[in-house]
Amino acid sequence: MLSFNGMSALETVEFLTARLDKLGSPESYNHYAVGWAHAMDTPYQWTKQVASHWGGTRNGTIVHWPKGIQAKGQIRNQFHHVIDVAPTILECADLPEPYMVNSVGQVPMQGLSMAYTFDGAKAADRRETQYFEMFGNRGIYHKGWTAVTRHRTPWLMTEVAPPFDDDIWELYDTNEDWSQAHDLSKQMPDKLHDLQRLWLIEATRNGVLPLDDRAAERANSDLAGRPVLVRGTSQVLANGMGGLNENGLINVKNKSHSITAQVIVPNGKQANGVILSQGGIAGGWMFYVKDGTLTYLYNLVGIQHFVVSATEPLTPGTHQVRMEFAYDGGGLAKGGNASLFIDAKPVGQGRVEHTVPMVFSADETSDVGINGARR
Amino acid sequence: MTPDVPAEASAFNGTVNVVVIETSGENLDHLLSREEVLNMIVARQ
Repeated sequence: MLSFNGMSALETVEFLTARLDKLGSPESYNHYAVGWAHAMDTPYQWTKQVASHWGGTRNGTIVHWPKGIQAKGQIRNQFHHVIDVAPTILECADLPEPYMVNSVGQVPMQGLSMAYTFDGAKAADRRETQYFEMFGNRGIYHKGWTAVTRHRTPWLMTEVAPPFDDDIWELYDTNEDWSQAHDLSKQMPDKLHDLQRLWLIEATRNGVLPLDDRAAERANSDLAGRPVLVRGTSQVLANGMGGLNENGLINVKNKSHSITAQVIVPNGKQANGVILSQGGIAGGWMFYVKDGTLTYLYNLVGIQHFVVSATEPLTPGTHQVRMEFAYDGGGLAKGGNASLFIDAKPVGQGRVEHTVPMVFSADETSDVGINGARR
Repeated sequence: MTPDVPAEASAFNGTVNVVVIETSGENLDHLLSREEVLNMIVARQ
């Protein structure tokens, strides 16, 4: 999460060593280190974000359907893409492609069924062309040939990528060179140009253009510019709602915002528990009551916690509780002042010195009335 | 999120009837370069 928020410089040897015992525990994001990811992709080049090369991208597929496939324990080598899985299942189930789901017209599937390969070991490939693009890394497969270019290095989230025109393309004949080891671009420039042109045609057809080679910024919907699930400037959440991923909640990052709730504290009890939370250990915020004290907690990517507490208790009965966050402005990740109110009366104020600019968490959710564990 | 409120003991002991999130709705385009804004406009068409 540090890298996704442009803070990878914090992950020094000293920083990681101090947290060594937490690696592999629920308090860490258990990700393969780049070295291991790269090693496991051998003999292919690069890793999955580099969509141009096969490392992490080209993987074996196991198909198991004893009642439908006569061949047993055999290997197929026809080229296919993950978009071909759904059409394959539809063909096997003898179902038509849905053109309308819940009154929403569907974009036609572009995949091709792989069912012809089940009992056709030597059947000619039906998928002859497939483009690839991710973070500006791009490639094209056509009849066994690939033209590819790596635009940026995936683990350098904040590096300034070079101009697209400066990218260096490589050419491989994967009919003979399945691991993309021998670059033929210098020997066969015309073939490379043909495939580069084909990539452009496929990219245009499939909405890839204009290319967007930003990395961390694309995690924040405001900066990415993509459509969002929750539009507008307000959102109402009801009791019992939970398990909402980060894009299921209105975006509160890098801007002023408020959280207002109506709560009922039972008679004879001291209020305790979460009113609304977003994110978790990796980063996020929580509006809650601890031993009768209304509290706002801001977790800056697990490194620093800012806590603002009310000076008056939340008593039994029905109350409106509110947190107002006044963002400093002036760019991303700035701080702000958090103010607490009970029934419109100011009851506390505090400072959040820095905020999370891009993404709180990849798998910790938003929940009403609880801080849910990772799902 | 904090040891002060462990996830397994974080359920509110009363009732949360409704929660409203409101944002300022401020335009964040100033945080984007002109090229990025142009890309977003084209992508949305």
